[in-house]
Amino acid sequence: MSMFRAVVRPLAPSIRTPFLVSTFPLSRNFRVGLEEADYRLHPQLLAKAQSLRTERDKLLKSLTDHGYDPAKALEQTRLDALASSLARYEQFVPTLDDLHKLAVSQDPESLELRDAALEEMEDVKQQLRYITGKIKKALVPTHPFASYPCLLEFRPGVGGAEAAIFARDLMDMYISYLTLKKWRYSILHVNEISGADGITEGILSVEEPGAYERLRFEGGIHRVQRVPTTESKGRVHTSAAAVVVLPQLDSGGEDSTAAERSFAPGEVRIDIMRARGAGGQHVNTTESAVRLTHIPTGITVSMQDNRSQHKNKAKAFMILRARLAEKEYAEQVAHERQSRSAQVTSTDRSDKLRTYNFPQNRVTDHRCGFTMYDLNGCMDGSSLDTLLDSVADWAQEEEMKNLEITE
Amino acid sequence: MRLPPARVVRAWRESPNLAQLLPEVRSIANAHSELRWISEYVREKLTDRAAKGMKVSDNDVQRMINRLCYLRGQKGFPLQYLLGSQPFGDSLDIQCRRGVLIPRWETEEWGIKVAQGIRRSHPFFTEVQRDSDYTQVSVDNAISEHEIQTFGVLDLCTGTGCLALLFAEQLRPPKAKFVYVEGVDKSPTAIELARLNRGNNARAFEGYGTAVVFTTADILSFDITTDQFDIIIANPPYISEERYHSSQHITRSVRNFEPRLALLGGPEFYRRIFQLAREGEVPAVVCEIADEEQLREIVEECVDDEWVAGGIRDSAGVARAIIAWHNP
Repeated sequence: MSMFRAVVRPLAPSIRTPFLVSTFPLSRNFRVGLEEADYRLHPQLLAKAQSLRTERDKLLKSLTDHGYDPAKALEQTRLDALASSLARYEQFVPTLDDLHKLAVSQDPESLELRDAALEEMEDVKQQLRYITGKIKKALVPTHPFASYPCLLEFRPGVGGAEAAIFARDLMDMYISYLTLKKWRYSILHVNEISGADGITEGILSVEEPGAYERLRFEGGIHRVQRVPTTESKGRVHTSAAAVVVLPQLDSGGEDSTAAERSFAPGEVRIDIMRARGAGGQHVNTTESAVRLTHIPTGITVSMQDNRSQHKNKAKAFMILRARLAEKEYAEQVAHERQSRSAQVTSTDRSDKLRTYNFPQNRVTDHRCGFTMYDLNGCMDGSSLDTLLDSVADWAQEEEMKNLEITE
Repeated sequence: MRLPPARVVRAWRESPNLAQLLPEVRSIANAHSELRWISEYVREKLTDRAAKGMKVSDNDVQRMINRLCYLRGQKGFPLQYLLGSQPFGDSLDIQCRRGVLIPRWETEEWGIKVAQGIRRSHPFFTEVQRDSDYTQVSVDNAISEHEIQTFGVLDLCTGTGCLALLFAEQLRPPKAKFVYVEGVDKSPTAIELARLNRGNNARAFEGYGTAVVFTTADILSFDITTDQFDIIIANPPYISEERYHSSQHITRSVRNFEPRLALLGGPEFYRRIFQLAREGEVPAVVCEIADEEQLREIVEECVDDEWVAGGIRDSAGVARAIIAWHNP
């Protein structure tokens, strides 16, 4: 009898006695409780998955009827994985129900089978857990910019010169990370402060497709606790630097004016830090600074790093476009969130997302609570991947939670 | 105008090199940029030297930076002569030498505007060649077919070759079509430099059917057949005698270091360019000009009823180029 209870309790905690068990066909009606959530899909999620499957069937039909279309084919392969998982899920659920029925039945004939049934149930649950995870992952909508390269912007926060130095350190950290990954990158813009080894602004362009997906959770405030080089009395200071991750919509290589042409004439004001006078052959100016102002939003971008004004302008347009795309997306997400329930947690832009503590040789990510005692490895980029992995896992879980709340 | 002493002191406190640069570059922000470019250049150059096995000390780096800042700020050397080159267009790096005009950003700006405009709207670039067109080409008319399939650009007063190479870079011919760019200059030094630049920047247009040719010729006294070209572009000398000698209009660095030959000129060049265009029935002409006044003069003098003309302004708001095309 005791064994019997052990089985039933996790499934339906309110049911204690064999008497009740025999009167209710439990396995059919059980509510999705906390423990079940990881091997049963929420009915609404299930419905969504099923509707996606019908969509896939339609796609398949249109592909055979109207000929090949690469975009559709890609979408179909994505849905194929979901459909096969769903098929397996639907195959396993009745098995689980049957086994459960067997396990809880009072029939003396099946009593001897109970042991085997229980073992089998555990197996099936294990399988289901795996499949449900896969289905949920497939149901999480992919970020619209996931496959794009990205821009990383670094700016010092509170903490004066030390913050500027930390911004530089952060930039170096990502640069060595990119070098280790063998991803192509270029430094678009660095504004160094004189006297110390710090920066007031730095922009990196990461040209690897999909870099945005990998690095997008890096955007936010990074906090540092250490004894700054500018400190004379050996006190530990806390300062911060901000990282902004933007999707890079233009490659910036092949067609240098593509970004410029994506704006309507008059939408962007171009200011050239011009030399006064006749210009042309009369003067030979090296001033190449360009400032763009996007009139509808008031966003400004200045660029002066390159000796060529044309290149400065092209880069500035690229950055402006990335900032606008990010802003648009953020507004869209905020809007959606407002219309949903308040419980939805935010996966991006949370404040103070990470602390780098030098005296303790520790890096802590405040969102996923992951702590790593390998600060040097982190700062030289070699163990940053571990950190990024745990953040990505956390983000995925959050997304899935959101999925359940919103459905 | 005299530099405010406070500015010099402020620059000096940051770095003596900045103060050294000020007399020529005037603003601290600009001095910062130039110092950075000079330092980058010196470091790169000395790293190259060290890689070749020569001994290089930190002292050498600083000494070389000091020397370049001195030449730039105190003697007024153009930065492009000191660093040896000027970036141009999307990927070109144009070598600069004494005796040849340094490419200006205004030239780059209108050059890109015009080239992109042609590439985007000229039927030669927008009409895709159909496969059936190949079969119609017989041996007899292959040569004339080839002419039809080639877009010709004539760059007069080419100097470093920057405009010719810019058009070669920007005008990418579609499949089975060709772009032919010819640069002409009176100065053999300029043509030699232009050929060097063509070699250095061949990467920008190789793999396409693009050819760039440079010829030494004085356009004022030589006859040039122009009937194979679709556009004439030019950056002729356009500074008048009067302006050349007034320090209000022309900076010291330009007068002292850049060639008179590439600066002093005026209407005679535009007259000749339009005459060449008419002789060869070239459908379009684009030339750099000094200002609006000159634009009006040229339109009055050289553009007749068969032509339509307009101006292109640069980002500083000055009328910088005249664009004229044949009215069919």
